[in-house]
Formats: sequence, structure tokens, C-alpha cells
Amino acid sequence: MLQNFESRDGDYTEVVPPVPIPNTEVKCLKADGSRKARVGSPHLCIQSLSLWPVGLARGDAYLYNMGMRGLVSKRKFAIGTVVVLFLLSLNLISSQVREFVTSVSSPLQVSLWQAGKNISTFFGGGSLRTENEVLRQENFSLMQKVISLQDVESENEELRRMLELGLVEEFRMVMAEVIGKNLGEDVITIRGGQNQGIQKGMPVIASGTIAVGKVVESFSDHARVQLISADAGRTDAQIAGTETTGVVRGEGGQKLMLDLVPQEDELGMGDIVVTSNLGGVFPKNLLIGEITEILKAGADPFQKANVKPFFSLKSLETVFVITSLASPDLLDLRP
Amino acid sequence: MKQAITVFLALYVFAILQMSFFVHVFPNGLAPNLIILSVVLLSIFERRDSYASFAAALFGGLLLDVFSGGIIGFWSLGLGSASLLIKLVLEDYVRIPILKKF
Repeated sequence: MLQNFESRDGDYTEVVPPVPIPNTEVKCLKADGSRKARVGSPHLCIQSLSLWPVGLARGDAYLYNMGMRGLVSKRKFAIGTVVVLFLLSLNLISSQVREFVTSVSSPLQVSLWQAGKNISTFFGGGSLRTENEVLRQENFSLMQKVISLQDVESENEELRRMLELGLVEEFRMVMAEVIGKNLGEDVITIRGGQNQGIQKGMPVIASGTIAVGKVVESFSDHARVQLISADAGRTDAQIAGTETTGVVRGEGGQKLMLDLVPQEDELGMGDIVVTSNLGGVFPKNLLIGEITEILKAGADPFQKANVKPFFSLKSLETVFVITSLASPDLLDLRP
Repeated sequence: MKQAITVFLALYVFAILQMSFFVHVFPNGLAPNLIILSVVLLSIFERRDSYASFAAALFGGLLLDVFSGGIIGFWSLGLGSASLLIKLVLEDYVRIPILKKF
């Protein structure tokens, strides 16, 4: 039985199925005597001494083609390797790279920051917003006083006096303006660096004694601050006015979670979470946030809670870097 | 060359805009990531034989890396891979005849 098949170049070639003929014995059946034939299945089209599988879908043909010439050429592979090595080697001098880029970008960044601020104030309510911010700060200040008073109630008057005499230290703080924010990674850039006495690891707070984060990189006139809500952030914390302690973990996107709180400890909605002096980064009793949701699992030895941070990254414009921090166990923010 | 410099400058400005201007303008931190957007658009619309989008992805990613404080190379390699993937998919599996490649 004879049958016609359309070949790759569009002409018609006579074939003789169904007797399968090995590919090595391809017959030339064209009248013009050219080296083209298709026999049996699977079959090959032999043209100009090149082999090409016939009847493959376009994707298969593409893969075949890729396989023939290799997924990537040696040259491209070499270029790719060089690029990867170059990028990774930049990590060795990441501080210098970042300092250079930040320094170069600083003027433009400050201008755009100011422009954005003006536009935001214009469209966002102007004086009402400012007033709201002032009231918020006042609220935090009052909250701080309440927490301090709760502590005072729970302690003996004489012991408290002794603590105040011996343990309360004066901080030296540097005020720094926020000039850049990376909302995705909870990192801010502040105007103030080594020239102002700001060093890596120093705690950063906002007005109202709200814990904000810590300095992760310090350049000559700028510093990068990782917020406590950053993914890698871990802050030792306790519930204000109680002995309940835990660890506040950053979850990115300005979200916090209080973890490692023993099941037997009582957590309540709206409880205020403050820093404890265990971590060695922050002084005791800095405000962190408020519990918004308690997560208890029966099998888990610890309970967790979602915490809404008190600082608002959007309205954060000025921060304070604590530059002289004594031994953490000697520090206490109580008045 | 002129086109490349323009693209690189635009990416640099986008990165700074994202760090400063957009923080105030867009509420709740929902600012668009112009660098990712640019790389994706470049990868879609550029010519088949051009590697401008790949170079832009590396540069834009590097800027994101530098401004983010994370490991340098994370964004650059991620965006570079994404750009190549988009090109591969578009070249071999998608046809958009009305779009003019540049």
C-alpha cells in the first residue's frame, strides 16, 4: 500500500510502509535520485548529510536542537560564571560598595524624600496629620509612664530607690534623620554615621522610647538600621508589669511575633510588650508593641502571639541612636 | 550604548524613587517595584538576539541588593534568571504579533 507524506520542504515523497526498514537501510525513492526518503516509523529525513527526527512537535524539536548545540555555549557559560563570581565577590567589600552608592545617591535621595513628604502632607491632611502624630507620641509617652508605674507598684520602695541610685544610667543619644526606607526588607537609612559616633550594633529608638531596631552598618555619614520587625530580627521581651518573658521575632513587613512564652504564663489581648535586658541590645522597658492575637497550640510547650509594633515605618522620620550603652543588665528606662 | 546608559540611569532613579519618594506617596508600603517592572517589560519587548534586559536585570538587581542590605547577588541573579526565563518562554512558546520588538 502506497502512501504520500509531506516532507519538511513541502514536496511529496513516496514511501513504502508498513514493512519497517532499519534506519540504516534508508532507501532513496525519489525520482530525481536525491538523498531523501522516509521509511517506516520512527523515520528520519536525511538531507545534506544531517539527521533530523521527523514528526516531532515544535517543543521537542527545540529541545533536540538545544541538545545538539548544548544548552548554553561555552562562551555564555564562561560569561555567566564570571558574572556570578563578580556579584558574589562584591559581598567581600559590601560595606564599601554600599557606602559609595549611598554617598553618591544621598543628595538625590534627600531631595526626593523631601518632595515625597511635601506631596504626602499636601494630599494627606497636612496639619491634621501632624496633630495626629503629636497625639500618638503623647500617647506612647503616657503608656511608658503607666508601665513604669506598674513596675513601681510591684517592688519595694527601698529596693527601687537602691536600683535608681545604683543601676539607672544616663544614655547618650544621637538624633538622626531617616533618609531612606526599604519597606520590603524593614531596613532604614539614617543620616548619621561613624562621624557622629554611631557604630554597628547600637540600639535605635523612636521618640516615646519605642524600640525601633539596631544599626547593622555604619558608614562615615550614614548608617543602615535593621528594624526589629525585619525577618532576622530577634529581641528579648517581656510583658509589661509581669514576669512573663519571651522572644519577639520579626516576620518582615512590619509584623512581629512574640514566641517562646511558656504555656503556663497568661497572655492577654492588648498586653503591652516591652524589651527585657536579656538580649544585650536594648535597655529594659522600651516599648515594642501590643498583643493583637494569641496563638496557643496544645502540643506546643510554648505559646505565641501576634504583636502590632508601636512604631510606624511610614511615619518614622527621626530616630535616636543610643551611643553610650553600659552593661545591659545595668540599664533600665524607668524614671 | 546611549540606550544602555539611559536604561541604567532610569533603573538607578527608580531605585532611589522607591527608597524615598514612593514611601510617602503610596500608602501602607504598597509601592510598585519599578525595577522588577522594567526588567519584565524589557524582557518581553526587546529583540530576540538582544541581551539588554539581562544586563538591566543584573544592574537593577545589584541596586536592589545594595539598597536592601541583604546578600549582594540575591536580587541580581534572581532578576537575571527571571529575565532569561521570560525570553525563553516568549521566544519558543508565545507569539504576540502585534507587539513591535525594539
